[in-house]
Amino acid sequence: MTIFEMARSLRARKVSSAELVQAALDCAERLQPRLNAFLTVMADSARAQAREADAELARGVDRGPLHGIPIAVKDLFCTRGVRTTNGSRIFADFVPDYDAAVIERLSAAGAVLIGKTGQHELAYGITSTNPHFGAVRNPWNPECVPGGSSGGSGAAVGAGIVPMAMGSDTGGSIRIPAAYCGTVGLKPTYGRVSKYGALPLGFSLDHMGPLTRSVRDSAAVLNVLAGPDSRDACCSAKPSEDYVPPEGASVRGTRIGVPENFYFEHVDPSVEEAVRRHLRTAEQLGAVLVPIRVPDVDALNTISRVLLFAEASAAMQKYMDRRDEIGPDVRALLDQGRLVPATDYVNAQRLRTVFRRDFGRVWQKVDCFATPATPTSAPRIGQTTTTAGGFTADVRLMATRFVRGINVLGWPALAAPCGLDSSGMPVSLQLVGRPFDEAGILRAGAALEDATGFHRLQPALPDD
Amino acid sequence: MAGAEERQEPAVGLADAARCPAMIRCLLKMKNWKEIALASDVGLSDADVDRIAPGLDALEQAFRPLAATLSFEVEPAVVFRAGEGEE
Repeated sequence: MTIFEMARSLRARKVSSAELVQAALDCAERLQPRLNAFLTVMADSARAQAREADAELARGVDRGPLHGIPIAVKDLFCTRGVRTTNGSRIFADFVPDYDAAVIERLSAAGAVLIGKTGQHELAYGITSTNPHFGAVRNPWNPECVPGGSSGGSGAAVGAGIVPMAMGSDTGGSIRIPAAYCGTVGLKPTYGRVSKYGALPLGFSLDHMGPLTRSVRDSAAVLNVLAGPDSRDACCSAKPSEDYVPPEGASVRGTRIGVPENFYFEHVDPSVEEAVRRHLRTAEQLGAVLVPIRVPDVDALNTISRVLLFAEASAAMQKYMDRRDEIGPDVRALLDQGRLVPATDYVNAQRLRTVFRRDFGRVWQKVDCFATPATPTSAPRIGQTTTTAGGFTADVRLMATRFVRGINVLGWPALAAPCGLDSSGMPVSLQLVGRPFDEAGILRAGAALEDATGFHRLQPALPDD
Repeated sequence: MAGAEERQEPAVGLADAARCPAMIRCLLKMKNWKEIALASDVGLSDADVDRIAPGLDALEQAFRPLAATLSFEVEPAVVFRAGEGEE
């Protein structure tokens, strides 16, 4: 069920929050051996919150669509009194004494936190094959990765344990697990959602956002999360708006850019077919497909790597005397960052200025542009390279090809299911919007979702 | 007189260089990451550096030409606003 379906059932007294939460807890427990989606389950506090939510609704206190809805969050969001591991042994016993801004806002909206999800160590990778807490597995095929770094959130939503789990996205870490697990993933504009209390990976690249079962659910969560926060210096003062697309949302007249270069190169043929079919549907619904050429995205991705190397290694520098406690893949990335000169970091930030200006010219022609979210569907656990369209690359570089550059630009991006590939795994379309035009990509995404119903695709799981 | 303008490229070919990784790095103007790691005092062993050097070399090759395109007036995309938000 989606958030809105649960919310309707709650208000129709067909179900209680206590029942929804208990069902989520039962499902999480039943699927944990198969998926390893959770690092911490908060059963007692969740049941108590659910009872309170039910009591409030009975008294006529209605906090909105998230009221009484079971949710989960990635384990890098600080939760007062609950350990926050960031998927790392270094933080294994870290118990914050405050809540992240995201937790505060979700709690104020009445959402019920049932647990904290597994992730790639320190959010620095895309497999969520964690050396300390075990591999998180894909609900569509447990031999495959769920993506990352918000892999547990992708698995929990993809499996239907919860209708929403929070993720963070520094170079695709919301959109990749959303794509691999068949969920919707929203990376808002940089500064739209406060980063306060989220353990950092790349200060200028980190974005917080939801993974959900529908586009409208992501919009409802953004309604709760968006807004100024003086505790995050990067958080925008721009007022938020109502992001939920209306019933019957339309793409008629929306100019959707379809890149002629880069984004459809080296793509698995069945992924490309699904994405292009989805775009034809958009056209049939009245959207105007506009061929565009984009600046050198390989260069943009290189800039992203320099920025992330330097920022992540700076963030973790004080812990590097414990580098032996960090898994080999993340340790290698952190070690590389320690050798990036300061001049390269500054020049990468200067190149960012150039690319934001040059890439921004697309907005003269289109309202948003569409790409595959990932060039392939989920690789297998332990797989080191992936091949797509005759091009072979490291799984991390392949998975991030179409998403990480968008973090350098800071623009909003939505990943939404658009079918299955030849192996029966989910495929995802990425819609990238103008800065702070989350409403535009959510409206287009909702119209496509209404027309195709791909968000209803679900994996076959035991005891279904 | 041995002025800089008279300096010649090393009289070695790639076949010679292939027997000596240090020579390859010199010929290709690549960085010596082991020396950089040592000078930076980051506590990386030679084995650590050997593991990450290919990635760093690849990043260098991709990034150096990009950085060379920057003109002096381009500011970094990080903004410092003196005074704003201060008491």
